[in-house]
Amino acid sequence: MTRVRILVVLALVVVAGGVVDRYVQRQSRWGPSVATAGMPEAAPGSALSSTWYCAGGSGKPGSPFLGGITVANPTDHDVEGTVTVVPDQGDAKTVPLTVKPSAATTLAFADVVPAAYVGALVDVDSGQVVVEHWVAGPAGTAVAPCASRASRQWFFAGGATARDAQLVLSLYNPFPEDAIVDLSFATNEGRAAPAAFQGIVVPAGRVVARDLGEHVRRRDIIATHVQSRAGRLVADQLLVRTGPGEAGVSVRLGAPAPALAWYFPDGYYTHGITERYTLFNPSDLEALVDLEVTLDEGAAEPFELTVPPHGVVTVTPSSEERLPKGVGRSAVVRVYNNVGVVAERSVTAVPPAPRAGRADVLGATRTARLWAFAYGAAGPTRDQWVIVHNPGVLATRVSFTALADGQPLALEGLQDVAIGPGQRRAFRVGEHVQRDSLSLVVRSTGDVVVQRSVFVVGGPGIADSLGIPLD
Amino acid sequence: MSTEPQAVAPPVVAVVVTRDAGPWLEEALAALGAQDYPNLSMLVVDDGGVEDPTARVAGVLPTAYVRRLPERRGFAAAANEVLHVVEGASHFLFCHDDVAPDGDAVRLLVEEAFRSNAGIVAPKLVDWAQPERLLQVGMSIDKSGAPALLVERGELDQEQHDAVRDVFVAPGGATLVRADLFATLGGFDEVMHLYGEDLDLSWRAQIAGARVVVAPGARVRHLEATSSGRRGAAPGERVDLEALRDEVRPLQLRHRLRAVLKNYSTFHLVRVLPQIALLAVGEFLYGLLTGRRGTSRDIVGAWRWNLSKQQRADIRQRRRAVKQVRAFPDSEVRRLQVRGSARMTAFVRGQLAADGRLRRRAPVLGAAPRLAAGAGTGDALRLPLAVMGVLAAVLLFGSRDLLGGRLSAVGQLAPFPEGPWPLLRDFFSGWRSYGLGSSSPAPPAFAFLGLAGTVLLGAMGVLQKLLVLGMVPLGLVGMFRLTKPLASRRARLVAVVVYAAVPLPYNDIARGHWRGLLLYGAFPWLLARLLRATGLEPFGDRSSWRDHVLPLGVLVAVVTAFVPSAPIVLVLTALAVVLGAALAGEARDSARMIGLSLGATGVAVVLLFPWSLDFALPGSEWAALTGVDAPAGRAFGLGALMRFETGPLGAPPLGWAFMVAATLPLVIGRSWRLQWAARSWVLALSFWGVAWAGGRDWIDVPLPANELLLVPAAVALAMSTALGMAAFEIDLPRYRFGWRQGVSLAAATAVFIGAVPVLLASVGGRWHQPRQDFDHLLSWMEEQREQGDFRVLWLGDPEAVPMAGWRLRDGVAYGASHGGAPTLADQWPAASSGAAGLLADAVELATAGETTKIGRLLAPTAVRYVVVPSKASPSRDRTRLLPPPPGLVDALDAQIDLRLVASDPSLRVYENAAWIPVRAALGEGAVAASRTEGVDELLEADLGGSTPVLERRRSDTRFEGEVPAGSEVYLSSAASGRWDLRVDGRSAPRRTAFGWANAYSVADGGPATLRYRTSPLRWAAIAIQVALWVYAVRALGRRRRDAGEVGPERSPVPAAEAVPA
Repeated sequence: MTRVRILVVLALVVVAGGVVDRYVQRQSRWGPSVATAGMPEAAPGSALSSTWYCAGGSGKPGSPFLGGITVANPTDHDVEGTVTVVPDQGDAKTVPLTVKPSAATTLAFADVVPAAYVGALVDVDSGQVVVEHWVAGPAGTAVAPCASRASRQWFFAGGATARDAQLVLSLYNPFPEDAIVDLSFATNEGRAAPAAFQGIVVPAGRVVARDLGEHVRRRDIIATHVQSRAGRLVADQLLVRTGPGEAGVSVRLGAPAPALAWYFPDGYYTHGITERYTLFNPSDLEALVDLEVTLDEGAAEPFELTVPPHGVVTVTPSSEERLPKGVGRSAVVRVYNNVGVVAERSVTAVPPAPRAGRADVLGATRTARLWAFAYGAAGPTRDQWVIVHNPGVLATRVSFTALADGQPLALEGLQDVAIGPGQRRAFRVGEHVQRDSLSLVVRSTGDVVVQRSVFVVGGPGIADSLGIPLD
Repeated sequence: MSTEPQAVAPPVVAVVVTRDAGPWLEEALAALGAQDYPNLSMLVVDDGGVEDPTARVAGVLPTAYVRRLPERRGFAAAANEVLHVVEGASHFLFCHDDVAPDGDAVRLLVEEAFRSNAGIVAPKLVDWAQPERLLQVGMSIDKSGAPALLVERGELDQEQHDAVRDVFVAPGGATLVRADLFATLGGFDEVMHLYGEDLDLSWRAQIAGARVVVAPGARVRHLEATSSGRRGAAPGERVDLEALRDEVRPLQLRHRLRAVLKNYSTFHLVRVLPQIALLAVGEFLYGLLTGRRGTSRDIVGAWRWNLSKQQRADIRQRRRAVKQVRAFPDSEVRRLQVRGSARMTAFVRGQLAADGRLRRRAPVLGAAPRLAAGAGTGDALRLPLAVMGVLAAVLLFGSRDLLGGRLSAVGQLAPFPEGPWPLLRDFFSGWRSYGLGSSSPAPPAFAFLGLAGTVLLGAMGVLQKLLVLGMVPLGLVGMFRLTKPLASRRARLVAVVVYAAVPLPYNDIARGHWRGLLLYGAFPWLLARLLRATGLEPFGDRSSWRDHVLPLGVLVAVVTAFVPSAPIVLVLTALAVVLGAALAGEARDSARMIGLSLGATGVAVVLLFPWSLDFALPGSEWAALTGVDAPAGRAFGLGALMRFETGPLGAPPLGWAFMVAATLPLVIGRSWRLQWAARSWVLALSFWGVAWAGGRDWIDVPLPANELLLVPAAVALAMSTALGMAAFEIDLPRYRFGWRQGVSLAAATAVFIGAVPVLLASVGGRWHQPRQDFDHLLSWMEEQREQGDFRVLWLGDPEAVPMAGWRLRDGVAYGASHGGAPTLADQWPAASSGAAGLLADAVELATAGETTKIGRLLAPTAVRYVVVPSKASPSRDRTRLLPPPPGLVDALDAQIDLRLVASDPSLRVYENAAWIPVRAALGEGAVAASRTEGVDELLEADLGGSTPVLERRRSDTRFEGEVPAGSEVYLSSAASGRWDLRVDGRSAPRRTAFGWANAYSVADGGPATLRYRTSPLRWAAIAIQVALWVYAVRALGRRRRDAGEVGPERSPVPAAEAVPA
């Protein structure tokens, strides 16, 4: 009896242990293997300091990329720091920076260093500060968040080096050691890695800009992979197009890593507006992707896509029957086989569309409850919209606050606005407040993704960009 | 009247030396009287005995001449009397008073002397009571004079040794010596009054050109009255063999050395003496390490005695005498010496033949020595020797690269310092430079290692190999001892084989788990003590568990000094065995183990004072005791743990083989075999379970590392397999032939299969240990010290960080080394991180995204480099990936004052652009910042302009150099008033800098010395610690003497040493 008891007890323990072990292992096996791509994020409120890196822009008058930065301080205390503007040629220059509570400050590069290409290092003594950089030239206006961290690699899904296009890659190395980078491309004509774009040295604390069209010519679609052999850096792409139907300027911060999900709160086309989703798979494996769309009216089947290794796939909504014209939508790009991709949305608008210009926006890789925008304006010359997408399964309520020269201003009519699960809503900010400088904070009771679009009234210029999470 | 000449036998004088002989004297004399040799005279020399033997001699041999010496002068001097009182003899037959020759023995000896033209002839010595058992048939020695028996004592005499042959030594007892030779040689060396005189005489005889032969046809019974303790003891009196050996050993050792010093020619002496000295050192150390202090003492005594002034003069004189009679060179004389070391052979055989020796001993007078095991001893030894030989060969073969080269500094295998002094200095100074420095007590391991290094004359490399590779054989010997109560040599060997073949120690070597190896070597010894306390068959003894507290406590203290979490493993073991007993029965008896383990832990805590006290003080961190938990994401699966696959060895399916073998006792065992098998399995399952659950953060208590938790499981598995062998021998024959025999066969096969991976791994010669290490990879940092002394901050997976760090968060360790890769001193963290917590705070700020200027935060801590390893060794070696937590590298990458340094892919090295040297004259901005404690000030200050000072490093606590006038000299070490900066002989005023470090205002510059003044409290603590150890060791010694333990394993005299008197 004793022997039987011993054998039974020991066997039970071993078998039970084995079963639990297998169960636990299976659970962990399904964990994500691709790191979440890092969007720019504001440092936490407890931060002792925070640094922002703005890689692309020009300080040279007449450049299509003439630009600057806007620093917003949604906190209740003064923020002090410095802005170091780094040119591609010549010496960097550091200027002091003070931003009052609930206010924003704008700095034009041309006022500091009038160089053809510049980058900027914004170093402040607080967290919760957000920084965006913008370009404004004859081809229009564009905005993008600056980077809150550097990376060893950067990805851009869209871009073009067609006859009428100038695509510039701006590389900024804010660190004390030199960086050496290699560029490779996935285009509509296959992969390319020109020798001229290998081993590019980005000296410590310098900006290096390269016109990609010089060596990767005449491509309608060109996805870029920036890989650092040594050092870390920040990469922006600046695109200007002058051809009919495509004219406009855009500035984009790259994605530091592929991701498994990308959120696009806005989507819309009508006569004169061309829209395109571009998916870039920089890995050696095929990516199985769904492009899920949620229409403001009706429903649409998701697009089941296969993105080849080192390949690019595009979806043009106007060519798809399931996406009706004139109906707004949100979209989510979701990977199903753990192979990360980079997703981007491009918009070009020409008459008869109510606005003109182009915008290229990377999707959001995360949701948040608190978003901020440093750049903005609403008034007779600027038409600003904010689009909020609630991808969750519960309804949420959002409120808008403008940073009005030292006072947080809760926008009337934009408080506690409900957004249903999976739904999105677009808000025309100018209907609630009119300001030349309009930094915004959007608060939500649930996780949402927020995009801001600023249209130049009566001229070319679409400044689309996602917000910067504050939480 | 016949004219034919009579054949006259040469006159032989039998010289019987006696002293207070027991009842055997008459029988011995009668045997001499009964000789058939026609011309034998008797001379009985009483060596100063209390009793006058004349009457007793006369009663047996009325014609014998009795000569009494007025005082005891020893056998040699007494025998030499024959030179003064006898003339005209052809031969002398020197006899003890406890030998009884057969009736024809003398005649045969004399005949052989003439036939062989031998100078000395020895008979075959057999047991007194059992004459069919051999004692000696001549004897040999090795180069050191250590005796080497030519027959196995107790061997059955079947005339297998009856050929006449040359031997090196005619053993005492009964020896026929040609009279003229004896006179020429000057008789026995009277200084060797007892033991060794026979060796010396035979040696000198051969030098003089005489042959020494043994004539086995002549048989002499020998009582060995002196060596068996009969002489002078009352009948029935219990003999204290331990004490007897203590008396005999010094004489044997010193006389053997004397013979060597006297009889070798100068050339050979120069060659041989260093070898003998080396062996003596080894034996001395072994004696110290194994508690045979008497042996060690006597070895030293033998050398001191022979090298004393008086003996040196006497030896010189006798060497001259030897030289005068020398007829043969040493090369000729030594042809009969055995090769190699008879001591070493005797040692090995002595250890393994312990049981046999125990059985042969007869502790009670009146009972004849039991020689029953005699005939089987050779066979019985053959198997253990063969198994041990194979294991030794595999271990040596598998470790050949590591033995011949250097151990890679992987994991905890940091290089040892070049000498023992740095460790001893660290131990005594009272200042630990670990982390950012602290006045916490240094680990006692420093003292142990320093002392061991001193004993090894500074050979720290050898010490490291002993403490790494030597742990495997130590564990195997421990396993052999642990399983001794199983009373089955085969079972014990199975235990040793399984313990040797589990992948655990080899994975530890591969991964650099030094603490795991140390526990692997020590745990069987700990468990043996623990099991004795249960009182359960067959392990327990009759003593109270309290009797084991001190011995086990001392052992635990030694192990804990190196493996701080060892007591936790010990207590868990006790709990697991009790749990097993709940399943198998007799839980109450097993519960004693819990008390014993707690008691022993208490003793260890006391002995390790004040280091142990540090862990109980507020602020102490568990991670310093148990190590930092590995990240849950790379926890081992249950299968890997059960196969001990913590490294390259143990993969399925072969890794499961021992599990199969260990189930045998559960199936066929009965009685205590079954019960202990159940307890063993519960022990193993408990530790596997704890390691498994702990790896998944399911146990909310910091646990020792896997390599430690798996050691008891490995011992339990080996024990269970051994119990299977015992059950095979004892229980299986009681079953009918059937499936159980098949299961037994499968188990046996499984043992062989299970050993295959280790055999295959041995081919590589280094047990998969990487060839490259970070020490080599970061050697460039040494050159950077020219710009000022600095620290290196290590961050990452606890297994990848090559030092014992503190816990930053789950699965992340941190620590700081000085000027490059960590050293041995970095393997024991202080109980509290203290000021080093600043390092963690800075990293936490960076990873939380709260700063991008970690370099500035780290600047006052003199951290110049931040290193994040992603493997335990450089990338060329195929070791597994141990990536740092995802946010860590991103956070460091985001820091604008960290410069990424090109390095091996396995390391991410950042240079801090804002660093301040450990000893620096601060720049203006830094001086202002140093007067504050705030981080904000640090972030805003200009920290540039600091220059290194005091760059001549005498030790970790003393620095010298010039300091500039009007400067603020900064010392990046935790604030302490015992740091004293003297400039031109005057103390500079000290203040606390940055809220935690030291700064000195230097008005007038000049030559300066910065040193740490050891606190008197530290000296007092050391004195207390030493006193506690002395007390404990003395108490242990007393206990052992009181207990009268004469177990063979405690015998200071190896088997071959027991040369009968």
